[in-house]
Amino acid sequence: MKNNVKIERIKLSITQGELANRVGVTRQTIGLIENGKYNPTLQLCIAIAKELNKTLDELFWEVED
Amino acid sequence: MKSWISFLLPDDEYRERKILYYLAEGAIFLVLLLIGLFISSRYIPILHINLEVSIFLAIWVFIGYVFIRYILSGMEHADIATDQAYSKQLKFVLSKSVSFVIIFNLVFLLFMFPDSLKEWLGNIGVSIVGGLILFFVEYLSLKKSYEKNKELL
Repeated sequence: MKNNVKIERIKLSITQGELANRVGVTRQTIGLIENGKYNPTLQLCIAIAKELNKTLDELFWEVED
Repeated sequence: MKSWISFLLPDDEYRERKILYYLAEGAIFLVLLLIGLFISSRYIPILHINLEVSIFLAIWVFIGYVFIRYILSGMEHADIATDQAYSKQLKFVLSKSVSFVIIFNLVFLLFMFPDSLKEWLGNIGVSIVGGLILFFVEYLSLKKSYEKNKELL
């Protein structure tokens, strides 16, 4: 699943490890989500969105060009 | 979603999901093996395997499958993504394997002191083989984790 997690995380100067600690997963899981290799549960999506101060739409909604 | 198996599963949801998949796959292989053993023991007398061997086979097919899938998944060392961290962890794995060999021999000496050179060599040999297997498994898991994590940076 394509998403904007990596872009928004970098904008806030947070590392994968820091974000992982804050939402209670491993750094690998954050990496997999950012690379579209793992679809997180809604619960984790919300936790990530809260940490990045974004809405679910802004992070995970695909907009077709 | 919680079940009685939850206490065996990691907190990280990706690892939890993957381990559940491996357990389910292992269970399917186990059922297929048991069906095969049942058919062979009932209808093909030439292929009859005794009960003890069948149970041993069933247990190890399940445990072995789940264990191998977990080791090759690259999930174990989720934070090893740099050369420096990899080298440091590799040294730790090596020292753990050496410690295993030493502790194994010490414990063995405490409870069963060898009477002959043959027993001494046997004990040392078993501990070295155990240490090598431990190192190989840990090394494989670490390498897979490192390769996977590097791609995700």
